[in-house]
Amino acid sequence: MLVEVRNLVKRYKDVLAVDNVSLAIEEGEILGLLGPNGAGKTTTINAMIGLTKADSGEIVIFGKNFKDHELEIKRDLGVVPQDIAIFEDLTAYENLSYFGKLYGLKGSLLKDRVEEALEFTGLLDKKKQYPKKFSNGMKRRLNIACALVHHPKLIIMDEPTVGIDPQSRSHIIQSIKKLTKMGSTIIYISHYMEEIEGICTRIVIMDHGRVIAKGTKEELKAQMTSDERVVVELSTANYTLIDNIKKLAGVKDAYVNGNELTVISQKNSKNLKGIIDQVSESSVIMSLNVEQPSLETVFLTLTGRSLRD
Amino acid sequence: MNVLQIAYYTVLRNIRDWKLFLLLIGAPFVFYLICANITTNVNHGINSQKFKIAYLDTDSGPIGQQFERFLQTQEILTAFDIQKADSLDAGNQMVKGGKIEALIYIKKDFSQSLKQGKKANIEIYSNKSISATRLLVEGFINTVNASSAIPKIAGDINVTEVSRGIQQIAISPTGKTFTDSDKSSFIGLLEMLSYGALLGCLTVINIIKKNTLLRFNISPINDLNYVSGQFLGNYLTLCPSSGLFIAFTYFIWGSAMQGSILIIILTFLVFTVIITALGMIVGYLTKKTGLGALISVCLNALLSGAAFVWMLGTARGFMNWLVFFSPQYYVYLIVTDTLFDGFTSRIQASLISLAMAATALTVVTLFLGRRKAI
Repeated sequence: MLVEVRNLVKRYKDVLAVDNVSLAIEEGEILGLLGPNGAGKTTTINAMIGLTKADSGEIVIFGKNFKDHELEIKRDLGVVPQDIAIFEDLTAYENLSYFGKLYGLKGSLLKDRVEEALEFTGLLDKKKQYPKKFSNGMKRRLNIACALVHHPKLIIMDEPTVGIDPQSRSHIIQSIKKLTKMGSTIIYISHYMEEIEGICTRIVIMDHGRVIAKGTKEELKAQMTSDERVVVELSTANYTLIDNIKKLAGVKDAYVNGNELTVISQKNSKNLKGIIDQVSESSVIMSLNVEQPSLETVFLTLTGRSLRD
Repeated sequence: MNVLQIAYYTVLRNIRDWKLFLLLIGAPFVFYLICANITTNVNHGINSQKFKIAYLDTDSGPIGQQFERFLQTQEILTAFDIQKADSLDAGNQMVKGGKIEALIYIKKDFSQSLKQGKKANIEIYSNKSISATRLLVEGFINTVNASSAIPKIAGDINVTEVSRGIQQIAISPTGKTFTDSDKSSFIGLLEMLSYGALLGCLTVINIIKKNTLLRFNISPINDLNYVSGQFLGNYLTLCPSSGLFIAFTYFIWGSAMQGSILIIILTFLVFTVIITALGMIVGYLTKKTGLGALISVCLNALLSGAAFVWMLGTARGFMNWLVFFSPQYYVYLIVTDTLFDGFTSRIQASLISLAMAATALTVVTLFLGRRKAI
C-alpha cells in the first residue's frame, strides 16, 4: 500500500470533522474522493499532508509513519490546492523554479524538470509571462505544474478544475489521464461526477466525516438497489396513459410532465415492451430513454443530497 | 532550499511590486530632495567673532605672570584672540592699524606696587572709548582682589583658574546642533524610512491571503528557514532606502561630521532590522491588509512623533515616557552625537538599546512566523 490511513479522527470544538476514517491507496491507483461540502474530505487530506494535526489515528505514507517522517514524506508529495497558490509577480518559469527548489531540485535537473512541467501543462510558450496576465484556466494549469515539478510519488488534487473554461478543463483532464498512464498515484477530489467517473479507478464517498461507501464505480453502482427509469417523449401531452401504465408489472410510479412521460419500475422488471405498446396505442413516441443508475444517483441515494449542495 | 534563496525570491517579488517599491524607495527619494533644499545646514552656535587683543607684560612679577596664565584659559580664548606685543610702540601700532582692538599694558613694578599697598594701573589702549577688553581686565582685577582678601581670612585661591562655583553643562560639546528645520527634515526622513514597515506587513499578509503560504507549509522546508529567508528578503529590500538616508546624512550634514560614518551605517542597518520586524509582526498579528497597514503607519507616526517632540523639547507626560521606546529617538541621538562629536557614552548606550530592540523584535518575528507557518 502506498498510503494507509487508519482510524483517523479530527474534532473542531463540538464538530466531529473526521470520524474514524480509514483509507488505503495502492500504487498506480487514482482514488476519487467524493462528498458534499463539510463531508470531511479536505480535513482528511489536510491531515495527510501535515496541514492539520489529527486527534487520533495513524497515517502511513510510503510505508513510513507521517508523524515521525513528515519532512521525508513531504518530499515525495505533490499537492494541487483548490485555491490557486502561485506568485503572480514571478514568471511561470520562476514560479516552478522556486517551488522546485523547495523540494531540493537544483542545477540542470531543476531546469529540465521545470521545462518538463511547463510542457506537460501546455505552458512552455508562456514561461516568461507573469501569471497575472494568464486566464483562470492557465493559472490552474500552472498550479498543477507547481505540484508536479519535483516528480512526486503521490499527487493530491483538490478540485483542480473549479471555475475554468471547458478548453482548459479538457486540457487538465487529458494531463491527468497522461499521468495515470505514466503510473502516478493520485487522490482526486472533485465536485464533477463525470470527472471522477472518467478518471478514477476507485471511489470513496464521504459524508458527515465518515466513509460511507468505497469501491470501483461498477461496484458502487451494483450496490444500489435503484429503480429503473424510462422517459418517453410524446408528440402531445397525454394524461390518460398513466392509469394503464401503472397496471403494468413492476411499475411503481408513472407521471406526465408536459410532453414527457416518466415510468419508474423495479429493477429487472423487464416491462419495456409493455410500456412501448401502451404508449403507441394512443400517442406517437418521439424518443425513448432508459436511464441506468449513475454515480450521481448512487451519491444521492447514499448521502441524501446532491453533490453541489 | 536555503535562507538566501528564499530571500532572493522575496526581494525579486518585492521589487516587482512596483507600486509598493515606488512608495518605499521613490517617495523617500523625492522627499529627500525636498528636505535637502529645506535644510539650512547645522547650527554652528551663535556667530561670535573673537576680539583680537594683545598684551604687553613688563612687570615680570607674580601678578603679571598670573595675568598671562589667566589670558590663556580656555574660557578667555573662546572669546578673545590673544597675542603678545613686543613693545608698547609695536602694540600701539597694531591698535592704530586696526589689527587688534586693544592692547593691555601691565607696567613695570605692577606686582611690587600692589604688595606695598600702592595704587597700580593696568592700561588699555584702544580706538574705542568703551571696549569689551575692559571687562576682561576687570574680571582679572576682581579675581586678584579676591585672592588678596582670601589669605587674610586664612583661605587659598589660584587666580589662574576659572571659578569652580560655576557649573557649565555642555549641551553640544562642539557648539554644533541641528536647527529646527534640520530636526523637521531629520524626523521626516526617518518617518519615511519607518514606513518601510509597511513592506514587511504587506508581504506577510499577501502570502497568507494569496494562499502561497500553503505551498511552503506542504513542502519539506524547515519553518525557521522559510521565515528567516522572508525576513532577510524584506530587510534587503529596505536597505536601499536606508542607504539613501545614510547618503543624505553624509552629503547634507556630513560637512559637520566629527565622528565615524561607520557608526551611522551600523545605526541604520540596525534600525532597518527593527522596522522590518515591526512590520512583519503587525502582519502576522492582524492578517488583514487595511488593518495591518493602518497599524503600521500609526505605530510609526507615534514613535517618530515621540522622538520629534523630544527633539523640540516639548515632550510632556506620555510622550516623555514613550520616547524611550522610540527607535527613532535613539537613531537621532546616535546620528547627532556622531555628526557633532557628541558624547561617546550616549552613542554606545543608544546603539546597545537599538541592538537589543532589534534582537528582541527579530526573535518575536521568527517565533510568530514559525508558529503561523505550522
